[in-house]
Amino acid sequence: MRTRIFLYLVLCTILIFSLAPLIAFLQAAFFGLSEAESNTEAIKTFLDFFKRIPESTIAKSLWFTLKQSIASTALAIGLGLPGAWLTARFRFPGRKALLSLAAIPFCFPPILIILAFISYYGKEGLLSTAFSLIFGSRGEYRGILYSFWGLVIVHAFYNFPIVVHQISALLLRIPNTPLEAARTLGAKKLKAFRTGILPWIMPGIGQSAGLIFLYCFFSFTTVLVFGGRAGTTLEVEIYQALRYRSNLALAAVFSIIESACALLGIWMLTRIQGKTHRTVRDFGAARKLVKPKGKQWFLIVLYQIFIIVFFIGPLFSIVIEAFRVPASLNSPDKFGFDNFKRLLTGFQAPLTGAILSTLKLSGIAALLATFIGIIACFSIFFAQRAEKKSNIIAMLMDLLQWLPMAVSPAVIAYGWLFISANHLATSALIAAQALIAWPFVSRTVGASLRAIDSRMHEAAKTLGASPIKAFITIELRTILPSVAAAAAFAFSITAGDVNVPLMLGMSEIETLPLLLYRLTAAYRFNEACAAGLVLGLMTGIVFMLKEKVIDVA
Amino acid sequence: MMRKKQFIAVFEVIAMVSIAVVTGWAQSNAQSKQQNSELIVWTYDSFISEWGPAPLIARAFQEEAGIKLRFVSKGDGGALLAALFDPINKPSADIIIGLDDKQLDKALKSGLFIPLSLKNISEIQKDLLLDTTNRLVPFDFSQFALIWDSQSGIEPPRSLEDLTKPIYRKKLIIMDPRTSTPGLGFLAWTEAVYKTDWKEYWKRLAPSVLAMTPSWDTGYGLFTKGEAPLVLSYSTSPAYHKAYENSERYRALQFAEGHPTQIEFAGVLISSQKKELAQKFLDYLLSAKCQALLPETQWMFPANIKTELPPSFSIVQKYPALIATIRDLDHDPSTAANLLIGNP
Repeated sequence: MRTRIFLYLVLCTILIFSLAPLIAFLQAAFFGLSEAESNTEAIKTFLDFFKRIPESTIAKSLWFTLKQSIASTALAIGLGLPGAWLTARFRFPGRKALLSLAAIPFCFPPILIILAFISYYGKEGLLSTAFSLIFGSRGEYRGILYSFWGLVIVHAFYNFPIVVHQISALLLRIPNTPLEAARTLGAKKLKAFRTGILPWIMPGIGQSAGLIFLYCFFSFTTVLVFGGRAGTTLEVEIYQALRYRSNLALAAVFSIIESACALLGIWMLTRIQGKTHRTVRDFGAARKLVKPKGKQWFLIVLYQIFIIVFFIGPLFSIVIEAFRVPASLNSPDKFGFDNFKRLLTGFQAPLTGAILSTLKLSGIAALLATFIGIIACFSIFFAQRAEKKSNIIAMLMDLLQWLPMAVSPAVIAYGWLFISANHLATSALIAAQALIAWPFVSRTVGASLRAIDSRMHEAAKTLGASPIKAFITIELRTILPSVAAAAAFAFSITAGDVNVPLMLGMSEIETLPLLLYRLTAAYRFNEACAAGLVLGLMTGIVFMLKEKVIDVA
Repeated sequence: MMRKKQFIAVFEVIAMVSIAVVTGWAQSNAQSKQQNSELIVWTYDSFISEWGPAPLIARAFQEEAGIKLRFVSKGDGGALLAALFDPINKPSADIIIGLDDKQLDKALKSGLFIPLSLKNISEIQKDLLLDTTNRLVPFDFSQFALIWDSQSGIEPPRSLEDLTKPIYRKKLIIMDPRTSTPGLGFLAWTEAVYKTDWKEYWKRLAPSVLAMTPSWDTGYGLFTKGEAPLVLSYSTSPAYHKAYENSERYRALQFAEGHPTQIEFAGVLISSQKKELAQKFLDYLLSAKCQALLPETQWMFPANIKTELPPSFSIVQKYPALIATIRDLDHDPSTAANLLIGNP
């Protein structure tokens, strides 16, 4: 009984932590910041809005948001499926590397990928320079990056490794028998694939698609940098409303619509997720990889060249551009450390400060996220152990884990800003980033906690260990690596996040992604690449350490 | 039962402690900020960039008066004005630099600026003193103009109307009137020329616009990277290419309709704890000595009539002036931007 009380206590803490900023934001938006100023204006805005839905920008940007998310998701699946099939079938050099690309969306922040794409696909970028060397003139270049399709391409390339990774894992476990049966019954190759394979991987595809769709739906920085003429997502509209028009009510309206759509998406996603778990469980061991022959080699090499030219190329160009010093009046184009030197010793030395404040702020946010995540996953674990049948706590906790994915970071950040004493931006930043990152922690740790065989614990107790000793030697030791991994994960997420500081309009304290954004917006590409390299190394190294920790365990 | 309870309790305690540490740290951070003795200046991005005026001004002022300046960029010009009206983060700067004449009325109505008594104001070009109460003082100005890449092989346009011609399809870069002051200036230009029909003009212009960038920096960067042959900028911009590249490749175009002027202003915030020092700095900003730093960093004309222009400005022409204002600062910018967004 007492356990239960404590569980509820924990639950309440997390509930308050998650919901308080939302309530604070909505309260401020519709009832004003202080009681003195009555906010009739806001309620008027809200009512006005419903009268003018059809012609308002809201409908327009909702349509654009949906359109670009669907197109990006479709393209990402299209890019990823061939890779998934090849890696699930054949053994070839570079297979592991192809699969491990899935780390990129998690360890490199979007702002870095945007920078990579601009410096690679831009009119003066490496790709077009290479093309002009091969084909002569540059021709009529239309600047695809700054159009709708440019946006879609960036989204798709950023996310396709997730498809490769997830679908490949699924394909590996699907037995050949249905396909062969279909072939035996006389089905043509395509038909056999449609009836033998497709139904099995459909839930998996749906799951990846759902995740990518959500990511694109909330896309902010990419649209801000590339969008321009093409359109604005709801998230960008929220930013405009908050930063340029100081209109909280309008931002609230946008975010309510956004969250409603996202919750619908998440609901469908969780339904699909349940299905995939079942499908995978039904199958036995992974299939054996075969050595490719003839035409298959051709396909593999073609796919690899495609990925290297269009995806690895941009990432690589960041490194080159970081060391390239553009020509000025006194000196020609050259390579060197000048970009780094300017950032480290130049006016107000922005890079030094940015590195320090990123380490400090993200470190604290990651720590906070780790603690909350661990508390959350332990309470789910104990709740499930204590009462096998009614899992209200577990269910609620599951819901809470999805919440940060369904709410605009702007709302969370501003909500915390209203709550924090003196409206301190740094505390709001830390709290908001921790709130965004903790579900990743609780999922990572939770997975390894559930994998523990409860008989081990019993065995330890039988052998004379006290309950605490048993817990420390069995549970704690098993999950320790995953705790470290989760903390690293939380750090990469918070260190690369530019949404929250941008939304908060922080300018007194500049973090690395913020510096990166500022340099990119000012078109100081080479310096931006130098700062980007530092950020990429920071998040990349932390992420690699995490993988190492898991490997050792 | 005991075991679970203890562990949950332990985690609970750790969480509470960590939250306490965070808030404590944040508060001590806030205190240390207040003790700082430097002057905080809010401005826009290009002002504080490496080759902008801020580094030179900061060094010169420290040598002259021994006071440290800390420049903070609020992003672009639109964000700078918005920061004044932010309901949560009350402006924490001592000085604001970079509001322009279109934003003047709204900024003054905020009541956030104190009247200044500056001795160098007597040397400022008279027609720039739009605020007779001297709460916001002009420090530089220039005329809006389109810059054309003479190596693009495209015929230069001669008027605003020319820009809507099919040969300029996706050839023009302008700035977002919601966020950037040049963007706002362009909107005022079209409102002055086309009066109530300006929305029609923007609709006709839409096919010509390759990008509507959030700030001047981004737009001009795109332009010099060769993404488009025409960009909205200033009549003084070619001086930059003359000084740094010894090139006359990029030329300002004279338009038949006339050219509006942008005047940039600075002021001292009423909430500042160091109003005396802040005034001293603004007096310095208007002095002929400091103003001489502006032409080749801001690429604008200095407001002080005693300042000599550098040789690079010899290629800058003065165009017939056009008086241009925004009719409705709260709505016109978003109306204009929405005419371009999603209508390629």
